[in-house]
Amino acid sequence: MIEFLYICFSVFFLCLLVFVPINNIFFIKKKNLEFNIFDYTTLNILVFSNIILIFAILKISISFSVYIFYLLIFLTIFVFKKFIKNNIFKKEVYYYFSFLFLIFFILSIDIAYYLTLGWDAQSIWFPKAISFYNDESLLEISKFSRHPEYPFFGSLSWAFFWKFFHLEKEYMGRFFYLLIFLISIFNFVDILRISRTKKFLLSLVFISLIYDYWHFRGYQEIIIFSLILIISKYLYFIFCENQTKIKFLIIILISSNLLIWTKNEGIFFILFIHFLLLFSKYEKKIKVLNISLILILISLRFLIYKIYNLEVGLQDNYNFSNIFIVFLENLTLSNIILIMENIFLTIFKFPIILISLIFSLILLFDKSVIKNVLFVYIYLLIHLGFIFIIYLSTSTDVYWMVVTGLNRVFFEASSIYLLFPIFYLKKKFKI
Amino acid sequence: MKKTDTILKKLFKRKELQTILFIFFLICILVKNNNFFKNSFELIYTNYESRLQSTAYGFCEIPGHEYSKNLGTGYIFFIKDKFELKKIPIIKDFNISPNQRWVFQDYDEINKKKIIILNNLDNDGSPKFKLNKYKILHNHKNNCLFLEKND
Repeated sequence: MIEFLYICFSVFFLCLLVFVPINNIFFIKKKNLEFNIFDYTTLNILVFSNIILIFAILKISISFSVYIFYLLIFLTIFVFKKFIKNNIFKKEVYYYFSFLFLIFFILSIDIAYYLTLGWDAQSIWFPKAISFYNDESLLEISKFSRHPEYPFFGSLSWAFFWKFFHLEKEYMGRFFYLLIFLISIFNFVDILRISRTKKFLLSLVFISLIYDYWHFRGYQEIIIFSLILIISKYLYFIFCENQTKIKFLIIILISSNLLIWTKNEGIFFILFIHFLLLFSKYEKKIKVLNISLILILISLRFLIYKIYNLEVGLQDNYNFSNIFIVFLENLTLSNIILIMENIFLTIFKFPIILISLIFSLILLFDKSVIKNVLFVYIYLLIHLGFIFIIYLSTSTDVYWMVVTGLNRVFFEASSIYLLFPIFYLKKKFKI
Repeated sequence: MKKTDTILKKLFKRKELQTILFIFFLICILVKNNNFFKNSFELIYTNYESRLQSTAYGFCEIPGHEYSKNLGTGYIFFIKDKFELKKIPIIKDFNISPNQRWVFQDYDEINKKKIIILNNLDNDGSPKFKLNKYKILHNHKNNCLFLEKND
């Protein structure tokens, strides 16, 4: 009974945390960066996550950073008392909070009951989380973990929220994955100019279609999926509504930084996204600044690994010195068929991808919208190309790599395809 | 009564009632699909440790729930609790499994004298591990064992 009540309390507290105006310190005060409640909560969780990451990079232990956060939350509530009174205690916020809490609570019970960690979670991500939880240094974490070259944001946040509630149950840390997933869905649906209840309804449809305990077994793909979904909303405004607001780029950059530190594939996905942004209508100097910043963030990730004497690299399944030769060797008809077969199976495994791609086919024949949607089709082609290239370039057994990992690589970057049904709804119902 | 009638009328006149009903319907599906009430019941009546030992990963040959493969990790949790282990024993799983040392979380020291054997029985029921040099501390149907090396 105590555990059940504790889950209820933790979920309530995490929902509250999303509304604590931590981001006020950085953004909200500036009038030209006004956010609605969905942007606001998303930015909040992104800022929060980035601060955790920066603390870890600065070698501040999880225990200490938890206390800093308690203090930070207390201070922000105190400092922005007036802001909270004027902006947080609103009917709109109240409804959003209640709905978020309800869905979060229903799904958190599922995680707390099942508990099971997946294979990679047991061998890679959870041991890293344990090390963070035990306040070990980055060097120790890297030294004793499998795949020390892997980034660690997922394990770090897992350990942080595990410690945050002072309950010896690791699944508390995984609640954060669920929170970021739910926030990204609510934020994404905000693209549509419909009533609040309809937004909740559509969010619920998406959540029902996507949610499965499988995604929350301690794997990192759901974080990547959520972060790309957050970025997708702003890509929509940039490309389809030609809105060239700086705040969109800020959110994209903050999300990108988390992507870099979550999984190595994240680096490639953000490169694809920022490549697409080069064709946006932002001023040239802003585009240059944006791409420079993203390259600096990527370099920083490797530089920090180098400074701390951690193993620098992407993945030991790839031998970069002769990758081209390996690629040519693996480039056989049977391997191509194998990859295509698994892509096809993955589409049917995840209903949300199937539905999105069906909408993409419908939109393909609509000449009036194809120009607006083009960037998603380009992303789809790049994504498929990327899958073929990485699986054909592996120096280990292609069959094993494809069967064990392709579905996850396809799923994690597929959140952007949710723009297809959104496009369709927008066009059909003029919303 | 009249007051209730007017409230109901007002409610049903609302444009968004249909949407609210849809939301309610979807929440019901979500609750049903994720076995919310059954899982809540289990959470209230079973503690965290026993869930780890029995349902989360399966206990030796007894499978856990749909998300776990027969790794036998539940048996390691059981031995850890029963014998109050403070050092990590050698873990030998005859099934293909990831490194299960994470069960011992913050333990650093390894005790090479103690060994946990998982999935010891072959398809024909014969044991895969020779026990002659070991003292049996716990035996679960000869399939999962906790052993100590004889001096």
